[in-house]
Amino acid sequence: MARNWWKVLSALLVLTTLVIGLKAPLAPGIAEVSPERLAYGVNSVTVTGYNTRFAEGEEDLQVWLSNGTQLICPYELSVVNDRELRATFSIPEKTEDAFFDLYVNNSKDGTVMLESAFMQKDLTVVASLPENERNPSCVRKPAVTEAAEFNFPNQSILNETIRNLFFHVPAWFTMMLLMGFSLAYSILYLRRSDMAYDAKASDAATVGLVFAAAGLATGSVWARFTWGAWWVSDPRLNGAALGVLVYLAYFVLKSSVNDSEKAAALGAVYNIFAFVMMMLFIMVLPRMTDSLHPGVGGNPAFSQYDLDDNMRMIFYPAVIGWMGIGVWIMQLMNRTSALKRAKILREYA
Amino acid sequence: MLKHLRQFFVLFIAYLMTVSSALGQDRGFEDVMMDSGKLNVVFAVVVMLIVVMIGFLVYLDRRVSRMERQEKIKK
Repeated sequence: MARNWWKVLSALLVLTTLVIGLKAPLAPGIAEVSPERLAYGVNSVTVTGYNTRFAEGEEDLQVWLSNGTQLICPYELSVVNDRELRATFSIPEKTEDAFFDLYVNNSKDGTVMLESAFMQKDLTVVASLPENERNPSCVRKPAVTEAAEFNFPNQSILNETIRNLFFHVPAWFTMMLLMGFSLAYSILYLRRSDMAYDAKASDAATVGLVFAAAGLATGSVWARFTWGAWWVSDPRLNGAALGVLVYLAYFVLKSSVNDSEKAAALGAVYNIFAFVMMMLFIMVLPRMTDSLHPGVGGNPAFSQYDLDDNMRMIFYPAVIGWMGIGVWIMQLMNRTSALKRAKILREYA
Repeated sequence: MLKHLRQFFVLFIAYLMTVSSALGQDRGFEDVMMDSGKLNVVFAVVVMLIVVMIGFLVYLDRRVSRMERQEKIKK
């Protein structure tokens, strides 16, 4: 038991992060607005919230539009239910920006915002409005939420799929760790010519490929939801697929040579090449070009913009947990391979 | 190896079919799943799968340990 503490810890971390990661609610947000364009004059809009409590917080509810330095408040506001409200705005002829951001505030939800919620229609967009048309005083001091509960950020494109972060990224991190083990075992084989190291390198790469498949599958589903396609021609995505193919070639190469000593030596040399190529394809090349994927091409990844403290509390333990599970599976395969080798040796002795 | 590949392929196709049918729904899909409580069933199945996976790992770990002990005795 004392030797296996890390296995127990990994299992507990994976289960805990799975339960909290899937069950914790999303923060209140604005799901959609209708219509999506605002024209000069009177405009009635319907705002649909997500996990919101518009009716409960109706007393101090306020809604406003922000356009550049200008604020626009509705002259009529009615709450349909907790998730729907209707507001009527009088839109001026001149604006500073082509898009209007929508804000809804009450004491139950705090301030929820939808960036570029509405687009202007036939309005005159000017560089700057005079002071008296900016109307900053139409918004009262925004109410603060009564009790902040544990939730995940409600981002307009990601929505509920934001939870996939706890599975998609740890799968890739675990894959990289296991491929790192595989590389280390291959180097050890080249130094000592011990077949046990070759078997360990091969086992680590096999488990790494399983996690890579999990990373590709979870990423593909995420891409379908956020970008609208199962696969887009993006340097990060293509790089990940190439990295996996490079490692598949490692197994093809090893199985194509009949002499096990030769296969092990060839495989070990190729493994070093495969690891370097995978790192180039996944970590280096995508950072040198524009990319849709977070963390490359100037997109933020683990920054304050898209990973808040609540998410970090689940994300880092999930990474440690899945890495532990990956190493556990690899260790089991290593031990099984060692037993098989011992049995073969005994039979030949 | 081929047997494992076939199993993996069948599981992968089943996974793709399930996910694509879920994503083919309109925006209210998650609301329907949440409001009717069906999401809890999905959640329970996912947790159960992970629990079974960990249970299987524990079983394998114990079995391999036992075989290692037997191997030591034989030596």
